[in-house]
Amino acid sequence: MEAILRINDLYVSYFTNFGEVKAVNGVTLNLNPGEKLGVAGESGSGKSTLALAIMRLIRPPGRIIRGAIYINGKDVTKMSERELRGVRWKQVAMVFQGAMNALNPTHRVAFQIMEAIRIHEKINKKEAFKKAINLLSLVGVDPARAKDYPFQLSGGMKQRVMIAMAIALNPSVLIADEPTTALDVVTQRKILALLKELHDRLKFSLLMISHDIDLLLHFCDSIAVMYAGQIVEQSSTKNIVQHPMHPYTAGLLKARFRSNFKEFWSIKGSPPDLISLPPGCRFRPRCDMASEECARENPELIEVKPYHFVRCLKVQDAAEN
Amino acid sequence: MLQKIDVDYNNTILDVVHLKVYFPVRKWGPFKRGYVKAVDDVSLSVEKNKIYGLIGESGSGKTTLGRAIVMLERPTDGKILFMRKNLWELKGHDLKYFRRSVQMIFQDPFAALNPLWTVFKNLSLPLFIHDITDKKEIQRLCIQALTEVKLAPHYLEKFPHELSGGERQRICIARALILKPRLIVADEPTSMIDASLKGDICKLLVELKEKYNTSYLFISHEINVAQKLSEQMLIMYLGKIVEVLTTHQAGKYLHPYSKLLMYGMDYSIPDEVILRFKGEIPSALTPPSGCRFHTRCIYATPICTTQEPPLVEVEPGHFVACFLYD
Repeated sequence: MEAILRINDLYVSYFTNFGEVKAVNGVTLNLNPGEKLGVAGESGSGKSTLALAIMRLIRPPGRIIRGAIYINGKDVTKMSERELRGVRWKQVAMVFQGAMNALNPTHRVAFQIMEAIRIHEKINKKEAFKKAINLLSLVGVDPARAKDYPFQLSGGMKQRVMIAMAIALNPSVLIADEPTTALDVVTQRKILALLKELHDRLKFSLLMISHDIDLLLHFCDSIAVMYAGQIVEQSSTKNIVQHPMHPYTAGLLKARFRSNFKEFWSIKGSPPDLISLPPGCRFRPRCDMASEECARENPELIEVKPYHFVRCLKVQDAAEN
Repeated sequence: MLQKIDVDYNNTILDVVHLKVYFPVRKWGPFKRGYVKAVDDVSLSVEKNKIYGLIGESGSGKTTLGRAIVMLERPTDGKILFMRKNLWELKGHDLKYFRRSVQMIFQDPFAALNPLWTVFKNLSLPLFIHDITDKKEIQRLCIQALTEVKLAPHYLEKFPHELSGGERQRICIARALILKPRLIVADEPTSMIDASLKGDICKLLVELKEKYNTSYLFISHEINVAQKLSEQMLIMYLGKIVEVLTTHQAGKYLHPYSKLLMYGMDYSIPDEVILRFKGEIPSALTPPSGCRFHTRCIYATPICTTQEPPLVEVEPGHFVACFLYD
């Protein structure tokens, strides 16, 4: 099956006054048609930068250093702004982090959805409005609220409007960057149920980014775990839950608060500074299994079992023997 | 209600009696005033050496209640009693003693520390205010506080921007602890912290409680975290306490709202169950009549829309405000 979104050895850095922040460090990722792929990671693991890079929305001082992002076979990193306009929103749409702040507070919500439609499709205002109303009812917002301003809506409704806007042009890929953070627990579940329903109906591919591994386990078909700008483990959800192989993934699963919550547990230490990364394996300072060997070189991401990629020397050695 | 008739003042730190905190807002036109009823008739008593979990969604008034307890919000009606005296009538030495006895840990560790000050200065300010001026003593207490939160003494020289979120929250905890308070109000202390470090902060709070016999009011929206941590749970909805239970009764929630919060955290509960509860938390400016939860409740009956359910004791130590259990 030809992947709809292919990220090939991507490097993104922010050039700040304090040095080069290596936010994304050689990420390779494939998203198949209709798949729900989750990207898990803590803050500072580069997961949001990855999402912005796919949309080519990295702003200075950030820059895509090398690597390629293919969407439907075309490389986004080499496109001009003009070509990008045909890709952004039409082929790849995004639900941004923090629904509270992603809408323009000075425009009515229907207008904001119409705007997105009318930039890409040559239709008049009336038709666009009708389309916006349809979209709103599709995501479960009362069409009577179409002429409300964002401040009149609750957090959950704003997030629904954001989703309506994202699916307005029927994109083949939807990126959801922390779509439920800052929402209440119950509202979170409702938004997830909505995304699931829309996914079943509209058949887009979904890249879901979250720090909440529980949510991804519940929602996605497969999961990539990011740590310090790199993918450290990637496999199907079932494999990740039943046989996590990278010590970081195992730690994240043990530190869960929701399902199977028994006691408080944390991974020791804290995530590394992306300006001065530790030599060797990036997780080594926090890892219980680490030995001298781990300090020498950063392990490669290797497929140790069918569709189970792990970036850990210990696991790879064990798999070879 | 929760108010015990004969309160044991040696064991009780603080009593909240029919507390109301309303925020005035102008509502359509200059002469009509409305109130956001953030806390509406809440009573509870905080005992020595206990962790209380205060749970609710955003907009339920849990933070306002916490802030009122540390005197950051003035009650519209009702009282908070500290050593049998009304908080807002405390003066001079008594007031200073109160300030020393009740401390707060804020939600956002990135905003709660002065960025221009070193950790040492941040930590030592409460000591200065409470007349500990001997330099050696201050140094000793600061290092001791850092050790309590498992940070090395060299952190004293650092600035907040050099620290990670988890480390900053530890500094905030150290600052709250440094005066050996009797009650710490912790307002969602784990919500801004990475998933891999949350557990440590919770463990730390429990450890420190055992060591210093401090009480905590742990404010959170994660019902299962609070359940693990605390001895008594208070569930709040739109300014009212709807359910109170002790931890060994935990898991046996009776109020539909508590159940909903529990379902929300548990992914093994199918989405359909949650979707049956319609809508979101209404505005506290115009709370629904009768039981405030009736607009979302799947068990609502006609009586729920007209009458407000009282908080009744269904079994010892377990109070519910719901007509289902009346």
